[in-house]
Amino acid sequence: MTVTEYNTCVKNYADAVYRFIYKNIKDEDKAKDIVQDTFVKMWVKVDDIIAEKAKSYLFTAAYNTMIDSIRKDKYKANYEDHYDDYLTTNNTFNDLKEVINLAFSKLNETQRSVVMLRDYEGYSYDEIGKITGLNESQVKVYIYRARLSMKKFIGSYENVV
Amino acid sequence: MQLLIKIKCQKGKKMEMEININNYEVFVIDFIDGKLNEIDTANLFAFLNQNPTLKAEFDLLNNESNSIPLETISFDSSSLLKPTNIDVSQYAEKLIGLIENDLSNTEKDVLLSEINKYPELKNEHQLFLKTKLVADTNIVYKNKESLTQKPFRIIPLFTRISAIAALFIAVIIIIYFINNNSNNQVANNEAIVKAKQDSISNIIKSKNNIPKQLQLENEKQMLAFGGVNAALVKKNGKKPMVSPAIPLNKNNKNPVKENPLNNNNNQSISPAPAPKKVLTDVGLQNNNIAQVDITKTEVKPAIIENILASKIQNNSVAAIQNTAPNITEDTEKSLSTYVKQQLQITGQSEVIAVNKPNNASENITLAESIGLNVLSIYNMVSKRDVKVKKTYNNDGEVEKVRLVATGW
Repeated sequence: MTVTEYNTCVKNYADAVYRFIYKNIKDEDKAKDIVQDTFVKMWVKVDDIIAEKAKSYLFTAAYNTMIDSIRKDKYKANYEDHYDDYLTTNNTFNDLKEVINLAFSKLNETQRSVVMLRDYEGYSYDEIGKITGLNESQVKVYIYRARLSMKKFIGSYENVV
Repeated sequence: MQLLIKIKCQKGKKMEMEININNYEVFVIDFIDGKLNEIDTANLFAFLNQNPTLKAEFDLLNNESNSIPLETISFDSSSLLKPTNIDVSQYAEKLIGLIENDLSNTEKDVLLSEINKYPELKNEHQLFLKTKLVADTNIVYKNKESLTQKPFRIIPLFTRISAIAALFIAVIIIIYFINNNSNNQVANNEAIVKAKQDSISNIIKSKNNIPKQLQLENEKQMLAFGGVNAALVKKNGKKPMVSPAIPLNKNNKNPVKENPLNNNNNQSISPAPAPKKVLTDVGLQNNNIAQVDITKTEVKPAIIENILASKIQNNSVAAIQNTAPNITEDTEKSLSTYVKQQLQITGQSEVIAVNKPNNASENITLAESIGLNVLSIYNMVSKRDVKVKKTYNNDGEVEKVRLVATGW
């Protein structure tokens, strides 16, 4: 891959990778760091990467870096995340989008990742499996369970309304 | 009793019975319902004709039963009262498959028809559609320029080293050729100067053999040229130093007897104050030629050659003598040693002398000068300080030469 192709990848995929990471970890600064690390890794191996496979390489590297970051911060927790219910009370939702985001946040990181790769980027089960290190049937199961869980959450909210 | 028997009979088989005031109501209701046979109907009408008041009631009853309009009231949600045949939970996988586009065309058509058929299935389908995420385009990575790279070319280390080495060798070759040319030029200049000096010496030596008449003519020319030469000296900024025995007037005329060059008169002329720089040629001094102190200048080989060539052609001793450059010891050496001195200056910074006697020679050979220049270039490129250390013995000769690194 040439320098020009690398710069084209930055222009085309930086937003998508950042969105993918940010929606997963909900931390703007960490998401930026992960995106930077990802592109640095890509630059180091710029001669070995084909331009057509650049997008999948980026998402794979970003996903692995994100998982490493999550595991490293596993034993740390923000006060606001843990005691959010005591600090604020907000049982009302302004629109359906908030409900969907809340339903999405209830999923685990693997389910979130596979659903986003499926819906945001349109990857197939096989491609998602290569990125996340799962096989095709596992990806399918994760997606089905994620959608079922989200549907139940949204349905229960609508029943209450 | 008879009435009871008659009523009981009515329940079963219809029997012919007498209609009286106690049982006529049963017959009337049967008639309205349309269940009365013909015989009983006739008997009823006969009885009613006998009792007009009862007949009026019968007529009223018969008309009212036909006056109530029939209303068409129906129950629309009768389908809800019917039991359903589908289990919505069983359709979850199919509905997700429809969203994921995993179903075949046939399965998709069947499912869509069932969705349209069953509302609860339609609701489930709508809920599953909401689980499909849409990317929020407002979330973007700012400052993408920090991730881009500028195009550059990676030059291998071997190529860089080779280029530096080639440049190094080229510099050495250029310096060598420059030094070589300088030495050749100096040598040529030395040869020219020597030749001219020899010619001057020969001419001066042969002066004594010049006939008397020619001598007088030469003397005149010399005096005349002396005035010209003085003008030239004035132009250079210094007054000519002329012996008092030869006063120069405006007309530039001098009495012959006062001519200091007239050897026949054997007049000794008090010499002018000894000039600072005098030719070492003995012949010139003995002839007591007026010495004109010419400003010391750096004498160039071309100028020397031109002057000497023009004057030698005229065969004028005085002209030659006066126009011969007062080449001093320093200027005589300047041509030949100019380059060497320059080389010594450039090389001296890279040399450390140990136990060097005062009488040790300062000269360095051409090879040494080239080597020192190479060393200075190396120090400049590599940003190091490598010097040559010369150790002298008591005789002033170089005993040992080493390369040392200083300032590391």
